[in-house]
Amino acid sequence: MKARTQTVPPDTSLTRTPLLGRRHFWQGMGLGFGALALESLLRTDSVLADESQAQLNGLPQFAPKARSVIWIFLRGGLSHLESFDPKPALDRYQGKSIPETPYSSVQDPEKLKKVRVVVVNDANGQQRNLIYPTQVGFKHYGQSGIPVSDWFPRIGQCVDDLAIIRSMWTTDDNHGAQVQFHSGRHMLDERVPTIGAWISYGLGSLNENLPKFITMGPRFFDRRDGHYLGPAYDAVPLQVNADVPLPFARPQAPMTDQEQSLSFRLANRLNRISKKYYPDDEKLEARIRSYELAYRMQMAVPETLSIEGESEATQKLYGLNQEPTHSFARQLLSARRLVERGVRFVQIMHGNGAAGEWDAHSGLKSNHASLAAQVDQPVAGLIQDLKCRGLLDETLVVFATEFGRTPGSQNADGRDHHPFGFSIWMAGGGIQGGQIHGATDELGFHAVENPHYVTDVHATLLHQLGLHERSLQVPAHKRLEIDFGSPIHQILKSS
Amino acid sequence: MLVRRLYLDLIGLPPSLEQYREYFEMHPEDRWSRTVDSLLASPQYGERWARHWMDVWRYSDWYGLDAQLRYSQKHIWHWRDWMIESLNADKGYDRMVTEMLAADELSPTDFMAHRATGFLARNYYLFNRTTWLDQTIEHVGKGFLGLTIHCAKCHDHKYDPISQWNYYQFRAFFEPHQIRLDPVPGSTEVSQNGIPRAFDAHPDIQTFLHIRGEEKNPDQSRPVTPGLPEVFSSSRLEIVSQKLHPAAYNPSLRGYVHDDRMTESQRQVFSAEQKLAELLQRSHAPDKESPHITEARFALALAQSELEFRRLAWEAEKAAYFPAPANPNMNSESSHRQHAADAWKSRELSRVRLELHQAQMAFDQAPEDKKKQTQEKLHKLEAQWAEFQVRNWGLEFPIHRPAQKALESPDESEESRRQPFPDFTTGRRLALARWIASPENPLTARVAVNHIWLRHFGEPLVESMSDFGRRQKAPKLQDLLDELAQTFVHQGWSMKSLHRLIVTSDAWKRSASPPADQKFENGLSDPINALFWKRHSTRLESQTIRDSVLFMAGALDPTQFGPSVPADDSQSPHRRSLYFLHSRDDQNPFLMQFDDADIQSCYRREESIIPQQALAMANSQLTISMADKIASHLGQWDGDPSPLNFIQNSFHLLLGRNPDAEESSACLEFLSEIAAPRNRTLLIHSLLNHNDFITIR
Repeated sequence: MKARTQTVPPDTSLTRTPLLGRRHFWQGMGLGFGALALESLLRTDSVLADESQAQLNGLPQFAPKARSVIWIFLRGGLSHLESFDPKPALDRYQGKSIPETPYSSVQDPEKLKKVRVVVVNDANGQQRNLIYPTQVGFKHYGQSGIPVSDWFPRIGQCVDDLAIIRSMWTTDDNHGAQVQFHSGRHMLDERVPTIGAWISYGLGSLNENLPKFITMGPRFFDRRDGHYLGPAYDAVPLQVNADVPLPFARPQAPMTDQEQSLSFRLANRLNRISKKYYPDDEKLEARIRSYELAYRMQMAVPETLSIEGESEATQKLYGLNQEPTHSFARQLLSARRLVERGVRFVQIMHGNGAAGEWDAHSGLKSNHASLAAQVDQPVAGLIQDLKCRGLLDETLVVFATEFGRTPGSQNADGRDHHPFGFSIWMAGGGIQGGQIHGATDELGFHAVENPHYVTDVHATLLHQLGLHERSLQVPAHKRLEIDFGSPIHQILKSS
Repeated sequence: MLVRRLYLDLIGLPPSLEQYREYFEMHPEDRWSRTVDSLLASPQYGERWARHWMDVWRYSDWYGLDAQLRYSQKHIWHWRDWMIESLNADKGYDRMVTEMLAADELSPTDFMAHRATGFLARNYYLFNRTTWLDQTIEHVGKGFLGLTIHCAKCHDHKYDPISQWNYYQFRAFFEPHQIRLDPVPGSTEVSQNGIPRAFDAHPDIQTFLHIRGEEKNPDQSRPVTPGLPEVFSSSRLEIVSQKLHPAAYNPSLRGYVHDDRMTESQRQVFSAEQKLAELLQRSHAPDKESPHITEARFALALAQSELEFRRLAWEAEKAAYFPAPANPNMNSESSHRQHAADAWKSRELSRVRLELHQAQMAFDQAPEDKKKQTQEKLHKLEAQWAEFQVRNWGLEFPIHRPAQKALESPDESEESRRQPFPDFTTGRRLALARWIASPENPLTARVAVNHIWLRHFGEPLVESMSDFGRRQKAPKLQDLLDELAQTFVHQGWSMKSLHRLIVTSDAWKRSASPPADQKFENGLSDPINALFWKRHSTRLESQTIRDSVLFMAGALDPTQFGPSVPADDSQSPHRRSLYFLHSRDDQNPFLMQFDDADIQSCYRREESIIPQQALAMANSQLTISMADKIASHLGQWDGDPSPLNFIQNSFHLLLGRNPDAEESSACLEFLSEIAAPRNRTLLIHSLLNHNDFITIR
């Protein structure tokens, strides 16, 4: 692991003068609140300080297993029943309603209470009773013999590297679950930082010339990541197919490279001259460094995203020069190049549209078949490529979606949103592949064995990156127990 | 130079070279106070400070999913315009707060004042009333009172004396209110333009405490009434419900609504007349009228009967609400109704006659395969025509309802949004507003002063802008805060007076680079500058950066007010940045790089230093093209073409100071190395990227 080289301090946005002392402000307001229970307060604070700020210096807090994350997210809701969690009972009971099956208890109102409805009486996000048979075949792959659907044959071939978690659950029955999967909070609650923001808050940069946190593809509901951590922790959007991959990375009006470099140089020189008037101004110093970084970044980003130098074999591996894989292949290959150069968190969203394209309320078969064809080869290519280069060990790949889809049919040939049980997988970065973790019931309805709320995924990432999840807190924004989650130890390699 | 800071502080734009010159030509004794006065009197003052308050009061244009409005309201910009106008008029802060919470109860018939309640409309949320009210409570607490009332939603507040019961008492103030779009002069359809405003839609609704904050678990055994935490019990809270003037709850009675409808109708008559005249003129067979001419005649008749109907319906509506004193010569209400109903009948007959004629024409011209279809329609209209002849029309006629209530859930029907509104209001919000905005309230003035102080000094007096609770540190300068708060209240909550007091003070004029002796002494006793012995260096806000660049180039469009403009620079003329659409989905890309206001909550701007800012300053269309304009403007400014003069003027305009010898020679060297005239543009471009350009110190 390289040592952290830090150009701009991670907490520049927080360089606020701390006020000292603590007194009874309210008393001064003539309210006569009386003395405070100050002792216990201070104690709480000092405990917090020990666990959090003291150790957050951009370095891992214990030996990390991974240094970067590639986060692949299918927007709209991938059917777990047609990808990684086959359910023969669906074929057995097809056409029957759930109450007619031996598993009618899945709809026990107590068990359905988990959901917090956002859109009351919406057309979507409802119970679907008529059992809908599996729309695709499954094959067993690899030494582990784990079944993967025929829509993902190439991912199937990587199955010995994947830890498939079949027991995810969430609480939003609508696409706000995308926000929830990233932040851990339901749409009706406050907006809090996403996992990518926390990681870039907690860990320093490994490459002076690139941002720590990058996002590609369509954004989910919320366009910010940092929230109360501040905009410095928002993902930097990159567009791999555009002339200008990073906002403002190239002059938007006529200006040659030479002119730009001259102008940068003069600004730098003048800024340095003015330092004599403000020798203690840390902000000026940070500003000067931010310009140096920007200058290098605008060179480094296009170089990083320029994949022409990749071998033909590599390009082919991802499905780069063919449809329908071209676009996603390019993003994933770029993702590899970014983590190779030390970017901490690369987030790639798949599925356009407001809700996300995977949202197959009808025509599930054709919808999933065609979308899977866009992602299957690039994702498998990424895993193999990382492996060949010895990067898989230090790169944690997450393949996730906001929820699964109902065992019952909607609109005759679709499935509705299903937050009670669904599948995701992780690979690399110290994850033990070739295993299935957790299970849903016979209908694929509820996560019944080792159920995991979305923040367990976050906790697993932090754990592998060498961060105590509880150290990620800032004053005045108390995090809840559920925000932290717990690492899923069972899927980790024993070391 | 201090005068640059003054301009930026008060109007959000730097001085032009002309303004610098004017300043230095004034008498040194009073030029500072004269400049302060003229800046406070300038229309740009309201724009500058409206943007600050838009942060605090959480301005956001509407957003949702595609066309579905989920958050905030359409036309919410009326609230922004109200802020600008109010600030420019130096309306008291107390009055502004009262209007934002309850203008509809304070001045039921001052319809433009209702724009202020955009503050409440902004919290609108389609899917969940509790989420909506939670936001309202949280930000009324934080924004006006520096109180974290929202912490008591599920359990008693852990630090401050606010019980969970108090939380729901607070909710009860807002429980009856809803949002609606009221018509504005000049527009007859609120979807085109209307004022989003609060009103009490459910005066009798009850509030219940949610057990453990769970919405599905209300404690219905005990309704909660509006009230304040005991700690404030010395304050009086007078909740007086009031009967509303009919024009307040029935906007169709407003003169301007009627006038606009009449104008619209008259226009339709006029264009129908024109159409008919044109057809007649073109007609070659005067003895036999073509079906098109007949159609135009019928259309004109319809337009005329519509006009007549509108007039009589208005009379009838007025008579219903404002009965004339008993007078045998006056029309009674029922005769007004009769006239309106007759006019409606005649309007309906005109309409069906026209449609029938058009159906006949369609049938006559229809090809064989469409005959059946067109015939069916014809028969239907014939039947209707026949029915109309024998119908007992009675006293019925449709009542115009120009206002539209916001959907209370996605299930609500369009029809229920246009139903009559209650004729009284509970007075709850007004009572709350009066308590908040009273001189006795220990928090309101202090919170306001702290906000204003922050935006003059770069650091607040109380670090936790939105939490003045027990858990927070006491401010070092509490005496100062108290004194300023008192003065503020005594001066009628005048913000301009407070600005004046601040910017004429020695404290405000301090430099970030004080004399060496001070630096040494104070640096030892107060290394973090908690006592403001020197200026805290502060970066300009995103909007000020962009506006300043445009202004220096002479390219800033001074147009004030009006609908928000697209957040994409290339689609919008160079309006000031506060007019950009600003929502979750719409944010200007340049502004975003510089810690633009977070729409969820922005009691204080972040001040990050990230490389993306450097890229935006270096590479944006804005800075490159404006550098060119600034350079050519400066080159012609005072007739002295020498490079040194250009450098001096550039430093003056962009950085508000003179270059020192080292800087001058660096710039001279730069100019000599690059070919003219590009060298000057690049020099300006460099200075735009100078830390001093975006920094106040």
